[in-house]
Amino acid sequence: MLVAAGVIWELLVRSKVAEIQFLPAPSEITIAAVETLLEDELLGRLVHTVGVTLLGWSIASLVGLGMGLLLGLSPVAYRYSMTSFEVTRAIPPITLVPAALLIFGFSLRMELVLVIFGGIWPVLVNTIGGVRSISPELRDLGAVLRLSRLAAIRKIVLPAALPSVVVGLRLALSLCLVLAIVSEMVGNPAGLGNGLISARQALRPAVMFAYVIVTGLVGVALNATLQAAVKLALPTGYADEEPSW
Amino acid sequence: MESSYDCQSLRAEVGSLRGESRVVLDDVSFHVGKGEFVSIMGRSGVGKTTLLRILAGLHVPSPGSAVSFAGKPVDGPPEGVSLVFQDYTSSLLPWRSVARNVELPLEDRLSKSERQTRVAEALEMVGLADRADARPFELSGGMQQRVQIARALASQPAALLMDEPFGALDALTKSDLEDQLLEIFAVTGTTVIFVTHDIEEAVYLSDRVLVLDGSPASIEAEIMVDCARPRKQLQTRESAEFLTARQRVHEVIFGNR
Repeated sequence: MLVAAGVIWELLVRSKVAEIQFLPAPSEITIAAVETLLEDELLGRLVHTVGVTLLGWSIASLVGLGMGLLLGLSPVAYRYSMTSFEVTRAIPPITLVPAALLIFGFSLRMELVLVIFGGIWPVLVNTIGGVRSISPELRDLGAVLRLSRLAAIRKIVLPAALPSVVVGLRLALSLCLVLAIVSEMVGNPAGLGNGLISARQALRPAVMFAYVIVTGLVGVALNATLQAAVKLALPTGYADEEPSW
Repeated sequence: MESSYDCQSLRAEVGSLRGESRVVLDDVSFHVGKGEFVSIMGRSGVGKTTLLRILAGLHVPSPGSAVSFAGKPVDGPPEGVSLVFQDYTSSLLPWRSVARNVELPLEDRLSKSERQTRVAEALEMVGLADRADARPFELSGGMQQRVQIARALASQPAALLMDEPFGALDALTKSDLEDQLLEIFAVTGTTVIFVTHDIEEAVYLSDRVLVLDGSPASIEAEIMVDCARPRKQLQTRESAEFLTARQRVHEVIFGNR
């Protein structure tokens, strides 16, 4: 279907039926993509965006997982901090872009902070949910078997919460990519987001569309990689061994 | 008789959702000898499970209560006690194979080869030796409950606490598992404390039945079951001793109806 749409788009633009200024034909976009790739610009930007997304996502995942375990396991911590978290979480991370810009300037730091801040929430919320929905029997089991707190977390809590944690990780990954692109568009002058904006300012629509398509492909690729990794780790919906965290 | 569990003037409160707590057990005193099979009976909500949780060290009784296991006061789950939950689905680890579920209590305690021997023995005892590599969700309810019993047996416990373990099983599976439990009881000599709301089951399995009643509940009656062991589903249930004990339990719970 995508191919058909591409062909129709190509024909409409070529035959001048649709004469829209700055709407390049797919063939022009492809040529632009190859050109930018050859100029080495696309590859560098791609590495930057994917790198920031993965780094921010990893940090966000670790922080979200750790805090989620704490809040899921300790009713006291949960009671005293959930309201604050609910309020903070309700702020869309994008609204913090101007604030981050003022504080950190047009920098990589600003981009990373935003990516991490946005990525923490899905992991945190899903980890808390996963931990708190563990059956009372499994909670008692760790105690009756006299497992240490760490062993109980490693052998019972984490694997039981894992399916829910994975959902959080996936949501966080796509959100991190979005935040990286937005930060690059308005703040940190690097990566695919900045490439997009620069191409628009230079009135090079074919290059701009090339960036749009590459960004889309990055999203698809990241999600597919994570899904494959999860599938590899959990063959029948559950890992046979506890993951070695 | 050597002592397994000893409870003196036990009192317990359970918190409700609204934050206030309710006294469920008051002045519960009893003694369980080593190698004895004792059932705890009573209507639902009377506090049987709370009592069992106190014995397992999962629920802290009110101050002034004295609970000891093997001569030592219970303050947290005691060494040598295993617990079997009613709901097998939520008590087994679905991401582990049957054998690895049974191995759980032995990890970090025994060597790999010792663990394998123990797991094989425990699975043999419950008749699941050929399903060691299956996942829990691939087994029937009765089989899953046997996995849980095998897990409880793997650590060779001095006492086995069971919370309505056969309550969710069909009648045929239930009587199979009752006989298997009696066999395990005979072979291992472990003490068993068995919570149930099935009079026939309590009498068939036990040396002694304790009936909890009242609000807050205390031990309303203690009925000795004089049926000879080994017990057989048909013969035992038709014997005069069985019928006498069953009638006594029935009278305590329902009055003379």
